[in-house]
Amino acid sequence: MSILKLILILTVVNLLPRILPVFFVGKFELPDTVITFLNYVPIAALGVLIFPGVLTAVETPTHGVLGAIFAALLGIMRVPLFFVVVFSVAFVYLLMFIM
Amino acid sequence: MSKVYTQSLADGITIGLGYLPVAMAFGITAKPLLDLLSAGLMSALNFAGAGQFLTLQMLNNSSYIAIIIAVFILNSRMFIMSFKINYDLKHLDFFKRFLISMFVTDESFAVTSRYPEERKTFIDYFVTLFISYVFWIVFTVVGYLTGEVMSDTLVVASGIALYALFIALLMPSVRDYKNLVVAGLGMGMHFLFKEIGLASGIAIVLAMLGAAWIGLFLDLKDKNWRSVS
Repeated sequence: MSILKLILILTVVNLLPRILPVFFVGKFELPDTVITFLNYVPIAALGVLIFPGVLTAVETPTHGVLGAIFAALLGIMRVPLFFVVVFSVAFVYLLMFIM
Repeated sequence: MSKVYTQSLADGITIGLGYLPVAMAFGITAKPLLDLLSAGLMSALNFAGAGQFLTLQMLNNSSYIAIIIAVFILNSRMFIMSFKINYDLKHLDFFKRFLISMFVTDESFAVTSRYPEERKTFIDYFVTLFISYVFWIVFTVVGYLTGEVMSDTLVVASGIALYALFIALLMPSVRDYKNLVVAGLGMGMHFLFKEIGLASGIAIVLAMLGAAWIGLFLDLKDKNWRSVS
């Protein structure tokens, strides 16, 4: 099997879980408990996506954690997303020179 | 340009900036293994950060079937995310939801999930998702072609970008203690499930569902408590 075929099969594998819900949603009313559950999914996903990945995101776990704290402070100060991303990269960049 | 476009454009670029180092790293990693066309096609057709790295990792020493199964497990979380997006957009017609769903990623899910009611439109979602998709492809190619001449320090430092994005998205909602508990448990469960050796995709899905379930539980408890007091 060629690499191109593999990429095409993986395209289907990648699209399938994304596309399937399109066919279900709207067909039936979801109970309130399911909706409440769904509303917690983004928050749960954010937790899952942040940790433990952040420990291996940059050169050292310490840099990762300090970068995370810096981003959290900017987030609390309601700095727009775009600038949180740019400033956090700059912060870790500086960290790499001083420690 | 209307406000809708500029906001969604900004969101798309923000996600795209988060993708930039990851896409470049993918391009650089792919270079010894794939030709430029295959690497670019993989980003254009698969659009799955972790899944693509996994594919590269397994390319030399695993069967294609093993790669396909591993990628499927890793991406099963997209079902849950796309389900939530489709539920939020259930007022849109089938075709529009189909088009949006094709581009769902962790990052676009996280960003769009906090769009207020008036931004739950096709244009808002599509612009955000599509711009980030373009970044992913373009910087895969850029990484492939120019990886060696980039400053290593800057590429490494930009590894924080996606995490900064996730953290900034999380911050406003943890003022509610239930959200704080759910996010914290998501982190803890993910760590634990990885430590006990579960496959990455399974660990992610279980931690996500487990933490969201605790959220539901706390919510129901809160409501019961309010109704008796």
